[in-house]
Amino acid sequence: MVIPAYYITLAIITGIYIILALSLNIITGFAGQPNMGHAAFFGIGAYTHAILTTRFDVSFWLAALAAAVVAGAVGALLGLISLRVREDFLAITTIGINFVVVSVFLYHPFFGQAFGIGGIPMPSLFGRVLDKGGLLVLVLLAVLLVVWISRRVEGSWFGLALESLREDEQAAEAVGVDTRRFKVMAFTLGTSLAGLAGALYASFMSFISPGDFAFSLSITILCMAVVGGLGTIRGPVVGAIILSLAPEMFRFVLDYRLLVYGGLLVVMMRLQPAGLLGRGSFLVRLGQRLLGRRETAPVP
Amino acid sequence: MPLLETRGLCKSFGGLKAVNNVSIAVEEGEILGIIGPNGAGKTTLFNTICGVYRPDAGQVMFAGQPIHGLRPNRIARLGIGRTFQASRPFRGLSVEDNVRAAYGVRFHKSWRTLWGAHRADAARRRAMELLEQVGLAHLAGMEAGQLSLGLQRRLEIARALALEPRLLMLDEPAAGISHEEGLQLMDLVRRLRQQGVTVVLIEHNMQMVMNLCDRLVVLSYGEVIAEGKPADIGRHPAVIEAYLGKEVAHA
Amino acid sequence: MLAQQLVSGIVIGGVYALIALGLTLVYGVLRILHVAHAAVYATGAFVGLTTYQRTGNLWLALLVAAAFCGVFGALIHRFVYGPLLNQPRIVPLIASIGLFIFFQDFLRLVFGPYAQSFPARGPFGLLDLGSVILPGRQVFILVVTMVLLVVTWYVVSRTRLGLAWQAVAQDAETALAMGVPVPRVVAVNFLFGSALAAIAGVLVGIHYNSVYPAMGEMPAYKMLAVVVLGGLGSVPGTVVAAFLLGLVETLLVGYIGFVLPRDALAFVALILMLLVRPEGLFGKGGA
Repeated sequence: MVIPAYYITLAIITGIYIILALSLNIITGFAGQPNMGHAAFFGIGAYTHAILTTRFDVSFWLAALAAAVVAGAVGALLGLISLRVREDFLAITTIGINFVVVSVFLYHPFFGQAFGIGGIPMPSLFGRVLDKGGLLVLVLLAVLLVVWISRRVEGSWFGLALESLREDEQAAEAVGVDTRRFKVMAFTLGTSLAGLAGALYASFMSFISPGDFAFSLSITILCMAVVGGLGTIRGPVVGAIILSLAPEMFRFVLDYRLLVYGGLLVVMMRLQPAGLLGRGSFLVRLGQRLLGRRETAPVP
Repeated sequence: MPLLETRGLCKSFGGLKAVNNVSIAVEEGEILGIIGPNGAGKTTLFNTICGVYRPDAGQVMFAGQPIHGLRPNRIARLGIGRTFQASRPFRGLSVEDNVRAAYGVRFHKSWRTLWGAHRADAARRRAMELLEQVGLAHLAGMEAGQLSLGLQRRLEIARALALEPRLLMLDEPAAGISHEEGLQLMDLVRRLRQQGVTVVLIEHNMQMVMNLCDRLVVLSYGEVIAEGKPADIGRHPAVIEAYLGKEVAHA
Repeated sequence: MLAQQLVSGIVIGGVYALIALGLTLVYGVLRILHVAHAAVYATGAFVGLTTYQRTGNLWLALLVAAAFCGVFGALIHRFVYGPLLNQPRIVPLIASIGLFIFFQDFLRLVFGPYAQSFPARGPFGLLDLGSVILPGRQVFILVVTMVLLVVTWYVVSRTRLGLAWQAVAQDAETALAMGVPVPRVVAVNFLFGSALAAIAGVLVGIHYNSVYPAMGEMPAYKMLAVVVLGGLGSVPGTVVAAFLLGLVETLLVGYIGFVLPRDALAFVALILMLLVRPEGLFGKGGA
């Protein structure tokens, strides 16, 4: 069966967005640390991968791993910064990091400046180069991996510690949670997964440039997670699917795309800030009523 | 050796000496009350002992070991549990998860256990035991933010107990709760003492303080102005002055 | 040459100050990062331009822009931020971003995506001070900016409204308990800050002789950096940081020539500042 290339492309992009939204969710959803510069780590991963594969002949697999590691290392740095800088300050700092990172890509010859980096090869397995369909499978596997990681985090002591520091940092400290350590861990994990997505993206596009990782992408990723439901796993997944497919499905509103997008954000925040599938949201409660189940006990 | 000791503890904000040369000792097994008018520095004292603030001068010794300058989570793990003046449960988490989040600290010894499922049975059982102790077991699944104030305070206590503290520091646990709940609280504190937990509490509720505490320390403007048994403190001129003003004290 | 650059830096810094002030005023009372402020700024530029095109009167353009956007800002507060005050902070932030995206695109649909010229002259002619030559436009901008900054300083520190703002910024609950009409203070806040931004929009339009829908893009986030640099919620801090940034940007790029693009400078400075002194220049209390 031959699937039209268009759908494969769409699926790959959507898959990459899902990974980005889920990875951001670990930092901003579970740990509650605002990160409005996530695209920067996506870019760091992409550029690391691109440079290693095009200039140093490193295999796709090793380069992808390196992409995750490098992005995670820089993310750890951001985590350390987050220890000194809280909430609103942190949000703005992450914006700053996004701008600075993109500027570095744009201006430094090592990163190809405005010309970007091209000729990034597709992955090869057992000597054969994968085609787009093969890459799609790879992306889907990566999505499954990230979903699995998210679920493990959610159900683990690590995740519970993150959530406690999200809810009330001082109270978390008072019950023995080493909030510093966990903040840095959350940033490291989230950003390294974004870096992995970057490697996949670089291979897929075969050409990357600084503009691909601009601040507007960070906003998009954040909105996917928030609109879907920050702090849950289903939320970012659904949010990513909706927001990456919507422009395609609503081609006819292409000219009004941003208008709809902006309006959607405002309406969502006013009506359902927990996200479409966030805890206690309208849709979730509707689903529970239909299925006869409840998540947490009702108020007596 | 006292369980907790502060020696010449000082903490200032800007020019204001919130805690000024405070030296107190808490003996193991006693219930100590810290009282004083508003703004006397009681909560600041708690915060300095528990590591939220670094003292500007002085020392804090716990079971003979210096703990001043340590991070709050470290101090908590060494055996000091505390609650907050404005009740601060983890609102978005369930009652059970609140306690489990604290209890989980026991497991965070190695990287491997960090990834262990926190819904495992052993942890559940322990969390339920703690909730039974404070009478919240039947609300285990409820979202903490939905609880009434009195229940939130009890949840905070259960959470603090999850670390099996030797010393429990309660900041105005009776504020905003009913008389009935206040009596239950006093019962709870007495039971905890029987189990070997030393309790220090900040309170304004005089009835509770007089009936519950073995000893009192009175703070005013950041300084200790009196110490002793509740009955003696009630007659102490400096204390009356602090609360009611000079004229009344010497009337 | 240096003197010329200095003056340019001050001109730009003054405009930054006008825009950033609105942000600080809003943050002070609501603790919200009012990203949509940049949409108000851009709208002000267009309203001003349209008024000027119809009437040929620059002062009228400024007035109308200020009035229109003042109301615009107040409406944003009434219908968007007000109802969201009890939500976690990320909610009004995303709403603000949504507003910004919406209105920026709205401007594009109404006025077209291309830049339009704003050929206003203003009442001043060329100012020749020997080593420094200022076109009339720049003189006009400088004068208006300085006047407005002085007015703002006066309002914030000497009038009852300003003191009320400071009270609310420090402790809204106490202020309310002491009889300060908090909702009114906040509404006036938005009015005033938005009017300043609108005027800034007109001034920038005149300065570069260009008004375009995406002109709010850079100020949207760069001004946040300015506000944090100066110390979130501190009016003098914001003004000082704005001027400093204007000067540094102009000197570093125009005089010395710099490696990174001008716009990234604000953020580099921001990151450095936050590492060294997280409260910002004039900030109170830790981050």
